[in-house]
Amino acid sequence: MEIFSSLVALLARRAQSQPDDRAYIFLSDRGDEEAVLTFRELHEAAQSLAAQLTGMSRPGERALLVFPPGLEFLVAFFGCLIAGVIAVPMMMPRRQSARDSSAAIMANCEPVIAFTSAAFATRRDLRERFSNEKLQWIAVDLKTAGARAADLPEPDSQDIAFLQYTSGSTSDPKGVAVSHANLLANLEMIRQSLGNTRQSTYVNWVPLYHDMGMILNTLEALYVGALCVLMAPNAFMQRPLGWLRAIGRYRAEVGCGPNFGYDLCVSRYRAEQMEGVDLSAWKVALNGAEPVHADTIRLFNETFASHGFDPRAAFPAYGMAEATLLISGGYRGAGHVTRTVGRAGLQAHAVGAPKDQADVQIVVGCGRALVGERIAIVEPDNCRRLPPDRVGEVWVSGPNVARFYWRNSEATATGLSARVDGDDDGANWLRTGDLGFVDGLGELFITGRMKDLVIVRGINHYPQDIEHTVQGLHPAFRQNCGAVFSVPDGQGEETLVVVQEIERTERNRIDPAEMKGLIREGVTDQHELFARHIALIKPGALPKTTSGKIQRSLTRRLWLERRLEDLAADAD
Amino acid sequence: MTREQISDFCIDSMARVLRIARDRVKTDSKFKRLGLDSAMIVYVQMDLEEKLDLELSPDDFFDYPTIDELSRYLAEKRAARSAV
Repeated sequence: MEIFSSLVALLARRAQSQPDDRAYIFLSDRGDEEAVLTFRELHEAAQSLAAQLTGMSRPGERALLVFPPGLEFLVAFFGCLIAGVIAVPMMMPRRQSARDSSAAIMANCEPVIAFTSAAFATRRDLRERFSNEKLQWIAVDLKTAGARAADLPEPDSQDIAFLQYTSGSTSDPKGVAVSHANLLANLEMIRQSLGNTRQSTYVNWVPLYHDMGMILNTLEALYVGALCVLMAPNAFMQRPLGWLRAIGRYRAEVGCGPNFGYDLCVSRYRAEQMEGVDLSAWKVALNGAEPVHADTIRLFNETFASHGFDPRAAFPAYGMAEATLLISGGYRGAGHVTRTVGRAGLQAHAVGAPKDQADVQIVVGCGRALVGERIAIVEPDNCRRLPPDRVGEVWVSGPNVARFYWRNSEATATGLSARVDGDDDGANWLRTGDLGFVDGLGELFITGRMKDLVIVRGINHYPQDIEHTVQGLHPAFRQNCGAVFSVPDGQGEETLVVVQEIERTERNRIDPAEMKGLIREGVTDQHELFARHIALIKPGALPKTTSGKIQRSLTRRLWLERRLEDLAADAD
Repeated sequence: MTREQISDFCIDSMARVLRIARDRVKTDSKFKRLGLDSAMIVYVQMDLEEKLDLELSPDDFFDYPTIDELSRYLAEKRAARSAV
């Protein structure tokens, strides 16, 4: 594989060596080709946008990318890279939601430009939400064929290409600063793990503001010079089989998504809608971004075997934005690894055989460290390395790990610059906050999380954000006296639990059912989450440390053991 | 199909999606109050489309935000179609 110094050089090479090959296709909700860009067209549109950008901003300044699904995002992304402007992909805010992370992200990265598509440039609520006198809006059109960029200097490999704000709570956003070198290192690691070539067509429905959608699916295709077919996330949610039909139609080799996406395909399976669909060309069905379930893989294999789906294509993987994207994965065609362990032992951080049938837990291997990268399992309290088959925090070191969070030196110091006790090679380690173990062969198994994070449908939610929402809903809810966490339901899916203290003076005045309805509505509204269980408790009943910090994991344990008294148990 | 049958089917579908008991799904509660987020609305929408052989839009769930209102609307929509 040719070595590139930046993504700008990579795109230029694709435009030169295969100019008229189709780089990206966007499918309409009905599956028709709505927009197409060849490598040359993408390069030219991005150059022309970069020329416009250089007149409006300086290199190193930030530009927001706020796009509905489509190819315009890619033009803006590469336009930024060519102009040396740091791209900041953001989720399109929903109309109804009052509060989201966009304000905090803007305060952290201070953008001067915001890109969107022509159709959305006129949406008034968008402009109001991003009201900032310094912000200049640019509507991106695929057909922008204006002046070409003057000879702009090619970015240095250490320059920051974009900021990925997938981690961090609303109040404390963390923008992972991803350099060209990080990106190229991870793209090469992914290529070796997935075994991709120019023939490895992708079909992707994961949103481009999500690192999996953008890097793993969209940029990786460009990296190897393959075609990437994109569809709208909502089109997938509504008709998941449309994704599989597109994979069949384009003879795609790669289709990646979070675990829930595979479940959705199984639950929505209708033989008549899949007639004649051949999935035998599909070589990598990567499953990542949320916990991978053995049952999901088994059911998917069973359901789609009659369409030629190869069970060895199931490809569980693990990654996060701090490592650019992918941290561990298997090898094309190698299939996946499961291991049967004792549930009770695992909770005590030891890996062993189950005591009896009730103790059986099947864990799915997420592959091994990628080429050029190291994974360590570390005892979080003393930062010492643990041997195989012991559960500890997963640490990662390699050229794909970002060096810093944007303007957040505290998070950088604790999360990205850790040292393994006893190592003297000076290596910086990423602390993932996830718990797991490696077996004797280096296969990584993720077993839980240290940080209080709730992951639903591949999206990270921070408990403190949800607690804050709840406490703003009614004066009866005591401030800083609530805990939000998730528990697995019968199917092993994460479900949300809200525990909230009630003010003493309000206890006899409120209607508990009404209060629970209020919480459910507020959480759905602000966070797109279903508060499945709600416990309203007496003041002072919430476990806290002596310094007043909420003990979420202890609250969770008490709730699971039914030791928290719900003042309105009938109403739940 | 009567409005009552459609209403019953909505209760079934929402109870299944929310994984709660049928009797907790009140037909006069707003969908948001029941806790249906936009992804869940899509699941229910797909269920209803299949069962009623109608095409729906997610906006229908905003315009008719309770089971009572939605089932009345859907019953009328089906009746209007069979009258043509």
